[in-house]
Amino acid sequence: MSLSKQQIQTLVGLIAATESDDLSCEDCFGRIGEFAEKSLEGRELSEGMQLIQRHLEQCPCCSEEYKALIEALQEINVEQV
Amino acid sequence: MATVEKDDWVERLSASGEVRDQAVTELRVILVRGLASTCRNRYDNRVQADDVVQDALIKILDKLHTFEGRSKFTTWAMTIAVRTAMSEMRRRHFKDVSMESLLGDGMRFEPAANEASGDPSERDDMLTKLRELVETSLTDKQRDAVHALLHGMPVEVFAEKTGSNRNAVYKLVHDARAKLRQGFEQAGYKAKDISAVLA
Repeated sequence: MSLSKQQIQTLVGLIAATESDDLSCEDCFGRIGEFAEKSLEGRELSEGMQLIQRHLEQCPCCSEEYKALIEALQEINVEQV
Repeated sequence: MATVEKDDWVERLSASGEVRDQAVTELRVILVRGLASTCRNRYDNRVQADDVVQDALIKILDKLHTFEGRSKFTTWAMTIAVRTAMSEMRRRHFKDVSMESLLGDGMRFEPAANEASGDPSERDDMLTKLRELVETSLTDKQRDAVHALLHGMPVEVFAEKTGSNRNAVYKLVHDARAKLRQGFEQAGYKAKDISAVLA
């Protein structure tokens, strides 16, 4: 199966972004709630939180879950007001 | 960073009898409300919030002792519920997708000529290098994982279909990326060069 131009771009982007201190999915999951709250409140991200941001940019699964989490939190926050 | 909310929820959910039952009921309502949004318009609406909230509650109660208060309790609980829901949606969505059909005859780098951009010779050189590195420096398992993920298979689905786990597959792919980057660097290409030409 051939890779499309977009898939090659994705692969190359991931290769170029690879760093030795990248977080794993579980590392990210452990702090994603805190990250989501800070993002929703518009607070500045600490260095540790920036590692989460980087993981989200590189991991489609975690990124998809993060977007879903934000939607869910917005939903319950609206209801709680 | 302890919060009042942590004390309240954890204490009530750790209690027994009516206090616990009431807390579980309240948490269930919150999770269903949040998950309804999560499940809507994703993966063909195959999963409803009610389908997964019970599993999520079991996981939350099982992990209660690990809650550290870094976020609100309801946020923490929702992260577990969302992951439970997303995992089920992905599992059902990719249930009938076989690894064989996805991987086919392997990963090939043959973008259509009209898709090429930038300096054609430089681009061809880098694509040749990328192909060579993928073929010579990655293991079969790494190639399969990278291939599957580039074709849209989520990490955890690949893990399930290959008898692995999400963290191990992420590491497998991350190691593959590091090898490819190292290979490019050894060939004299810096990350920003390959990004500029191929990405």
